[in-house]
Amino acid sequence: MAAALLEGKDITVTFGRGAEAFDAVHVANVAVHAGEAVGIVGESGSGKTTLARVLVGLQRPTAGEVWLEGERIFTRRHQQMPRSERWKTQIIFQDPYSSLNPRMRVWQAVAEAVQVWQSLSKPEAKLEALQLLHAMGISDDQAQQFPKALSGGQRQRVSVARALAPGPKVLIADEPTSSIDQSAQAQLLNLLRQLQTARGLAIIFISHDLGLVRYLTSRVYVMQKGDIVETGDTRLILEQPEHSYTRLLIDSIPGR
Amino acid sequence: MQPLLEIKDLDISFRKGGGRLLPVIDAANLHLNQRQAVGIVGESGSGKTMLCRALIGTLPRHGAAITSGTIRFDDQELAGAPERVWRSIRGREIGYIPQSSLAGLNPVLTVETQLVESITAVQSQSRQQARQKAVALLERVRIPRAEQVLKARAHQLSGGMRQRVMIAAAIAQAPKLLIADEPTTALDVTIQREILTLITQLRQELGMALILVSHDLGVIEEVCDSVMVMYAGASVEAGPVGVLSTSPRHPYTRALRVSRVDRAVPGTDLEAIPGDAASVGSWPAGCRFWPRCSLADNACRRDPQPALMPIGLQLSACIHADRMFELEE
Repeated sequence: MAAALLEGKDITVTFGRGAEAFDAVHVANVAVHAGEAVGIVGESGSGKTTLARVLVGLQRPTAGEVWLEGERIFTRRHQQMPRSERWKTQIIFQDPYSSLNPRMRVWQAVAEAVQVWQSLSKPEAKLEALQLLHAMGISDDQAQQFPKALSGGQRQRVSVARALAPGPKVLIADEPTSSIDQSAQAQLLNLLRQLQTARGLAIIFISHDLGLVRYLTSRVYVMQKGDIVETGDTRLILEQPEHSYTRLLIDSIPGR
Repeated sequence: MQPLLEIKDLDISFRKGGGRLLPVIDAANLHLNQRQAVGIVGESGSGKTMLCRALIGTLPRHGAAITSGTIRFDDQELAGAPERVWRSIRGREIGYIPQSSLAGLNPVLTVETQLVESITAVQSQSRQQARQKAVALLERVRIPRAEQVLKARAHQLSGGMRQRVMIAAAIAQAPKLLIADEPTTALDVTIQREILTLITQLRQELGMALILVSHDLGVIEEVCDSVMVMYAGASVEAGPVGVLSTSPRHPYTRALRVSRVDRAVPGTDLEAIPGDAASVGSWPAGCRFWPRCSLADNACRRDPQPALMPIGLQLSACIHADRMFELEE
């Protein structure tokens, strides 16, 4: 297999000190290739969001290294991930209500991200923002609104447009559908799947929803209390889980 | 058999300035027998929570009011009932687990203080008696080391544990009906499974009927006998869970089902419902679902929101309920 696009090697994140210290993430190894969709599943407190934050450079690892396109870009010795690398990995969060500035019009929120990463004039950035929003199914009218006028699903699509502004190679989606309505979920997931298959975007889905992971990913990592307890082909793992915790997660899906 | 609860053509509106009314529920219908469990499914803004609040008489006092329709509960009319009547119903006859009940415990008071308060609020008894009852209630909701948990405050308890305490408070008076509004939404799947099992066990032990509100059809199919689907303030379909899940007779119910990710084939697009859910204040004229429906024709756009009509084993508010098969192609 070709070298991974983004890779976390032996990532450990320790919070607290002395007797209080605990590893939110413990020697975790994850990788994603170009055009691939992988899942990280686990419950709250399993460390999946902390691991994601390390991969995008929002959290410094206590030990371990982040590699991007064959280069080591982030370790405990780095104050932050180098700017020349940061645009390549973008993240969208669970809560589309708190992740957009309420006092910025929708197009401004996206144009801001465009201007951070591309040297464009204001009118050019606005045009680019509107195009990104269009591709996400947000109309010009909606782009003129403040975020509160949009539904949860629409806001989450705005977050995706914003994340796509620098033309990233990897998108990390942290529980992207858990706070939006079901009919809006399908729209968002179709969009993300198109980005992966048509544009070759690598996507890491972080979710407690095994149904979503089964549908969207080809490989999966199962996390429990900071450890990756099982990893491999998604379909294989969901059909024949080896770890008891994976089995418990599968058995807990409503309707089974 | 006499139903325990019968809601007929219920309308609820917010009063706006200048005497204008803003409808939030228009044509809600629900039928529930003793000891039965019904699920209410719908998206945010469909009126699920407002309907629950109407059922325990806690509509926003100066904001919303029932403008027409009836709520018949155990041979009493509750629509427009005075607070005196509600005091004999709320907590005693109808128990309620509110949405976001994880935040429902007071952070500075112990579990004991809050449980004892909810017991003595409806029954005058000594503190000692109430305390014993609180211990029994915690044991009833399968909390181990109940004495210790009584002394705890909310932040010392896990989400699942806090939800169990809220359930204990709701069933303190052994109500005939328990209403649970999204009881597992913020919980992990393994804890969700435990809470759903607990609710089912309690229902059998206490002979309670249950209204379970959820946006997740999977949860409702697991726990309930029947389901009522709400869209934009109206009941659009109702019937036994098995029937609605295999042969829905409203395009919205069908769409909720086929857009579910856990049934989709990897590598294919999900069948998404186009557009956005109709929000309060901007319901379309005609059938409120028509802008998102591929069966919609002139009659759907022109005639008012259709009433629920029987078809087979269920009720549907779609005038094309007999044409669902066309959506399969």
